[in-house]
Amino acid sequence: MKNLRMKAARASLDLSQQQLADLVGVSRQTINAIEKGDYNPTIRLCISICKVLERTLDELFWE
Amino acid sequence: MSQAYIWGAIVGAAFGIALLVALLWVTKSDGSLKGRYDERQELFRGRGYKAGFFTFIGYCILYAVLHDIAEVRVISATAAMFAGICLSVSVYACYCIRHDSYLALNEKPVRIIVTFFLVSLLNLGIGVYHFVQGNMVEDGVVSITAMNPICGLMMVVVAFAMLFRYRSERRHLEEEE
Repeated sequence: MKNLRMKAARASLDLSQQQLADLVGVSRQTINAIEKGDYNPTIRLCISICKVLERTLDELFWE
Repeated sequence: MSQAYIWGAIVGAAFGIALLVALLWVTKSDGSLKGRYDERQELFRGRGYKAGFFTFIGYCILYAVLHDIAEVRVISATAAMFAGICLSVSVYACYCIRHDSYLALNEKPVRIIVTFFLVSLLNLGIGVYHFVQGNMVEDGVVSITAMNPICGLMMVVVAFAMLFRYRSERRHLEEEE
């Protein structure tokens, strides 16, 4: 399932996928895969993304 | 096989081993040159290794059937095994490239692609030389001199796979902008 909340949070901070990837420490393709719902990140990666996007785990990843 | 050829192979192998040891020592000492992969890339690299492994298993079975049962002997054992290794490495590399897991986070794609093309040209050139000299086929069997063109072909395939992926990535970045 697509993660539109993460995409919206990234857009609200005016970050490109590459910029978010650089801040989190992963590849752009991994961020793309998470947003498209093609990859389920580990909790560690989820936390890293939440910290960069200034959101909670529930806001970005809870279904 | 002449003495010069044997000595050339030994010196070449020794140089290759020395270069590998030097590269490993440099990457270990400060870690900055070591490939860093994210968790998704590690996952797909593992699947790629599995694909390459089973490709090699299948190739070995096929070679055994053709060589011992069907008695089709058109290539020397060494060249055949090397071809199998190159095939499985190609499968692994192409799988990883397809899932954006071949290049590490700190690697530059253009530099790698150019290097691969240069190495493939070098090997294919050596292969052409052996072919022109008439060393490639001995007594109706492809000899170990085929290892260079086989390696060159593998590098070309991987280089083109990387090039197509790189262009696809550039197009995606342009669309995102």
